[in-house]
Amino acid sequence: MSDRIEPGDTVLDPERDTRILVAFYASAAVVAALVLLGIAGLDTSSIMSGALRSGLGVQGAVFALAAIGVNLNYGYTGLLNFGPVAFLAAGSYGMGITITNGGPFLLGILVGVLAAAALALLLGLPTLRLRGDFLAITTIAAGEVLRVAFRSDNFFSMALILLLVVGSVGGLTYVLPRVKGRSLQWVVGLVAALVVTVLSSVIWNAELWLGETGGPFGVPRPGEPDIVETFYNWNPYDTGDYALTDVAILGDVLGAIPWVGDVLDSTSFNDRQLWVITVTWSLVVLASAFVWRLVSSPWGRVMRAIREDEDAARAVGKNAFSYKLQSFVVGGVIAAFAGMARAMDQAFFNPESFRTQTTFFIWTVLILGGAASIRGPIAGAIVFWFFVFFIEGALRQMVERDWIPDSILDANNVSSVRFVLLGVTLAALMIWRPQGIFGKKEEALLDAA
Amino acid sequence: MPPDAFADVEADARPGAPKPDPILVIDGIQRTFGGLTAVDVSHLEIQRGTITALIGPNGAGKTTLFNLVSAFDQPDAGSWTLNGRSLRGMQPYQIARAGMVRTFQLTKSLAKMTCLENMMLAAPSQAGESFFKALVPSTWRAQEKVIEEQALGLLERFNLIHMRDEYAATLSGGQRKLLEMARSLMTEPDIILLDEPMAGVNPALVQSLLTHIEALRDDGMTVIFIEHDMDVIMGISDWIAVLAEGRVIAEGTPDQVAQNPAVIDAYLGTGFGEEG
Repeated sequence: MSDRIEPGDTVLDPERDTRILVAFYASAAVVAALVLLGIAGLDTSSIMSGALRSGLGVQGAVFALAAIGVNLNYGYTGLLNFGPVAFLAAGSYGMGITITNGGPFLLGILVGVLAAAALALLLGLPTLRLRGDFLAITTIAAGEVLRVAFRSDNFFSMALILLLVVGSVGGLTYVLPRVKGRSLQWVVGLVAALVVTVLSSVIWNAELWLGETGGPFGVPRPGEPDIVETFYNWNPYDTGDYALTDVAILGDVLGAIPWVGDVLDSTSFNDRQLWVITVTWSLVVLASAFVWRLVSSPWGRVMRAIREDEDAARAVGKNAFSYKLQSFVVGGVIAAFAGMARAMDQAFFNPESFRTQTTFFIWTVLILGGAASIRGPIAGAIVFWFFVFFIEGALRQMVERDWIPDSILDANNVSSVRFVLLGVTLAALMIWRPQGIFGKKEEALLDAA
Repeated sequence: MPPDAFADVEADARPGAPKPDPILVIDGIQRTFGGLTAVDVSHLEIQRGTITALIGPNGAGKTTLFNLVSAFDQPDAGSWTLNGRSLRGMQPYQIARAGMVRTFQLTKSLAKMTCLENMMLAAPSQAGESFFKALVPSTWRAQEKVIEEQALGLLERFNLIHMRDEYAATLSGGQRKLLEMARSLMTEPDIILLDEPMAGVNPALVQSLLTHIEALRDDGMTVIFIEHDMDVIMGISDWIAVLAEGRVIAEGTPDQVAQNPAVIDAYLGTGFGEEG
């Protein structure tokens, strides 16, 4: 508290906002890299269009949507939800299994949403009494447990593991702080959960579980109905490719510029991709408007109060636990839509689609764009995937041309190395702009104070 | 001063003395931490509409008692009632809604919210705090205006009006104490528990804080406060309860307590009163 910030301090001076400066340096770095790589003889327009395709395409939109959900949890309620991928999984599997069983597409969406909401309640009820880092550890474990459960061919053993994880977490939550009082309540809960698990395992045996989830093979399995048929039946775009040059102003004005024209022309999507992109970015806009409406209401004020100091909120009569649960459910449902959108794009998913790295990408997007801001997740997602694919495109061409010997880096490892470079960039960003692109600098500084 | 609220009690000032119109009644509250008995209050009544000071040496259990009655900590045994209604088993937010609000020794200001937001948060029964109504601003806009007026009025009264749009983190320690007290008042409580409201506050501000606390009492509110500054305690309390090693060892008017040998032994030391 020693160097508390006083009003009027220069650190709070909006004139010293580094947003424009950082944007300038980032753009300058991209341009410089393009010029250098171009002089060296790489196909820079394809690097650029690859990066744009990823940032503006499905990848960017899906991660923007998921980050909006986590932003509600972390940015506005202060919950360290490190398991957003579990909600993507709940949405995807809920929808996928409904459709492969012959259910209509819209029912699939509804089931996906309900599955995510149920997961939020199941995960939230025992864990939201935990604080900060404990919640982070629990949620990251929950995400992994869910993925392993979907990969498993034995529902009973998986259910038991799930029960043990939730059970031990819940048990610790209740028992550790105070042995008396609630421990009996917890024993009753544990016994009830055990009974439900055993009963459901008997009714819903391993074969049935595997038949629905597809185990490691995912959804849909060969021979099962296509999960995206209805979605693409609604596709209003004619078959074909659509490039950025097809957008009137871009094509007419910028398309004429030699290199820019090439980039815009090769930044193209086919009709199916364009449909997913349209829907997903529309969802991003809707979710942003929805979250904005929520957080700028008295409801959001309670959320922010909980983020700042839960006990202070409780002391003035706010039911912090209920609000945290609401935040978890709403954020989880938004993340579930991201999962469903990705499933529509790929027409397929399996347990490996829900590895923890997805969680970390979502968090990176959020921190990069700026937590507790409405535009943050969107900007973060576009910039993140732009740079990932920019670096990948450049490295890939270098490897292809043998500029980098295979002994150092071969084509198979490019996709890993790009994240190393991205990590360096992020570290730099955290030094110079810790609040992210759209975060409020004052707030980041107040945190440090 | 409340008109002779303690006229009858004064003659019978002993630990656990009954009051004519108690708002808060504590019965047999116990709390142990391992082998240490932090609080063991067999009976304590707080008179409505008065300022009661809770004093005692460090570690006497004053803050723990606050934590217990506001449900931020759970007692091993005992019960307590507010306006005759049992509060046992309630959550802190339920107790705040029942009309008893508290502040904290280590001030809990909501750092990244403005002073005005800090205040408006605390208003009770806000329609816009429900998830579905939050989505329809027309259901809460009017109420928001009323709450804002109320919040601005309190900020004015606590000399914080010039800071209304500043982040609470930019306030000084004393201003945060003021903000927290003002925020508590937004809940429209019957009784307010202040945990060391003067600690760390600039002496120049203390006098204005005291005036505020007396004004609260004159508005009909009940105030209990924990404090160490004897001049402050003797100056504004109507009644004093003395805690030592978790027990109420004495009760009485300031004069009575100042002359009580048990209190002087346990807490005040032999020197008090000699300097005048």
